[in-house]
Amino acid sequence: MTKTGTPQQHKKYQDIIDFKPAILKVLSDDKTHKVLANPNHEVIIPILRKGPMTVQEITKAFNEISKKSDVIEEKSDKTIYRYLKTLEEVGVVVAAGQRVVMGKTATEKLYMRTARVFEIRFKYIDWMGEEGNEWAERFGTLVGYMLNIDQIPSVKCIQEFFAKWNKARFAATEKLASIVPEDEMEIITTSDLRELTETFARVYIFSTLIDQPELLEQLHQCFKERKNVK
Amino acid sequence: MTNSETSYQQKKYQDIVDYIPEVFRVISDEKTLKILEDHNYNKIIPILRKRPMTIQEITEAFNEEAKKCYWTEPKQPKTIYRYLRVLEDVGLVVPAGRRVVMGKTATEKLYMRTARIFQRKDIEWTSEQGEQWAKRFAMLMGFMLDSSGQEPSVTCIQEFFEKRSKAKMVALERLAKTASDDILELINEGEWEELVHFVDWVFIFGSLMNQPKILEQLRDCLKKP
Repeated sequence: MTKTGTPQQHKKYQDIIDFKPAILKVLSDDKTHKVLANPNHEVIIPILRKGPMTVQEITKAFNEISKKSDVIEEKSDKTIYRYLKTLEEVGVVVAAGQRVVMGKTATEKLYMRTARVFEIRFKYIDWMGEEGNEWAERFGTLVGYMLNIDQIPSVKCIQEFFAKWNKARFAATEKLASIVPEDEMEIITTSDLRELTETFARVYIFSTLIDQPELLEQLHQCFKERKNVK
Repeated sequence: MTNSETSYQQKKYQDIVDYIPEVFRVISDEKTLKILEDHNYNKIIPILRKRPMTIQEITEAFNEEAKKCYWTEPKQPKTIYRYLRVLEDVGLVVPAGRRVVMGKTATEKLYMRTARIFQRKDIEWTSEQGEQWAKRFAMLMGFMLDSSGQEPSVTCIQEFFEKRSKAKMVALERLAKTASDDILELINEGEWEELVHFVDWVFIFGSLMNQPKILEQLRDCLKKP
C-alpha cells in the first residue's frame, strides 16, 4: 500500500458486494404478490435499480418519491428497514454486502435487488384442471360471442390450446432471460414493475404467435370442431 | 298485509334505489387505477356487481371472500365503510338508495357500482410514453424472433397498438350494450387485474382468429428497414 500526502477526498467509502443478481426473475407466488400489492413495498423496487444502497439512501429516495405521490407517505428509516426485511423474505431484495466508511469501524448494510428485471406473473392457471376448465369456458363463450359464432366451442380443445400456449410462453421467458445482453437490459429496468409486466405480456403473446403459427390454427380448430359434431 | 307467517317472512325489507348505473366505464385516472389494484378495495367491486347492498351485506360477502384467499383478512363493517367512502370519492361506488326494513323507522344506506362494467384504459400509444413502450416492445421482439439486422419502425408499432386498443374499446362497448347478463357476468366476475388480463386475451386471440392479417401488420412493423 502506498501512502500519499493528500487524503482521497473523492472516496469516502467503499462498497463490498457479495451477490450477483439474476437477469430476469418471474414473481409468481401469492405471497410475493401480496407483498408487492402494498405500494410502500413496490416503490422500493425501482429505487434499487441503480445498484446496492444503504437503508439511509433508500429512505431518502423513498421520501423524495412520497412528496410527489398521493399514495405514498413519508417514512422513517426504521420503517423502511422493516419493508426491506419483508421484501427480503419473499426473495425480491437481498442484503448483498457492506459499505465500509473510511475511518469508521462500523459498516452499513447494503441492499440490492435479487434480479435486474422482475416480472409479475399473475396467478398460474392449471389449464387442464378444474380452474382451467372454467376459464376456458368463459373464454370460449366470449370469443364466440365476439365473433358471432353460433356454435359452442369445445372447452377441452381450448384448455389444450392454453396449456400448449403456456408452455410456449414459459419457453419464451427463459429465452428472453438468456438472450438479452446485460447492457440492453438496462433500458428495460428503467420502467416500473407493472409497465414491464404489461410489455412482457405483449411480447410473449405476439412472439409466440408469430413464431408458431400453428398455435392460432389450433385455437381456430376449437371453434370449428363442434360444428362437425352437431 | 295478510297474517300468513310465510308471506310476511319473505319480505322483511324493501330496497328503494334512486340511481341507474352506466353500462360501461373506462378508467384512465391514475388514482382510481391504484385503488383498483389494491386488494382490499378491489374486492368490493365484484361483490357489488349484482345488486345494491348494505354495508352489513358487503362486509359479510367481503369476509367470505377473504377467507378463501391470501390477499386480505376479514374486516369490520367500520373498515368496509371507510373503503366504501374511498371508492365513492373516486366515483366507482355510489350510495344509491335506502333499505327500508318493515316495522323499523331507521333505514339503511345502499351502495351500488357506478357502472356495470369497468375497464382499464390502455396507454396512449401515440404519446411519448407510448413511444417508450413501443421501443421496448420492438427491442424485446427483436431478441425473441432473432431478427438481428432489422430496424423495426417504432411509429408503426405505436400505430399498430393504438389501432388494436381502439378496436378493443369499441368491441367492449358493443358487448356491454348488447350482451345478456350471463355474458356480462363472464367479464365481471373476478378480481380486477385478473379480469383486465382476461379481457385482453379474449380480445387479442379473438381478433387474431377473425383477422389473421393483423399478425402480418405487426411483422411488417418489425421488419421495416
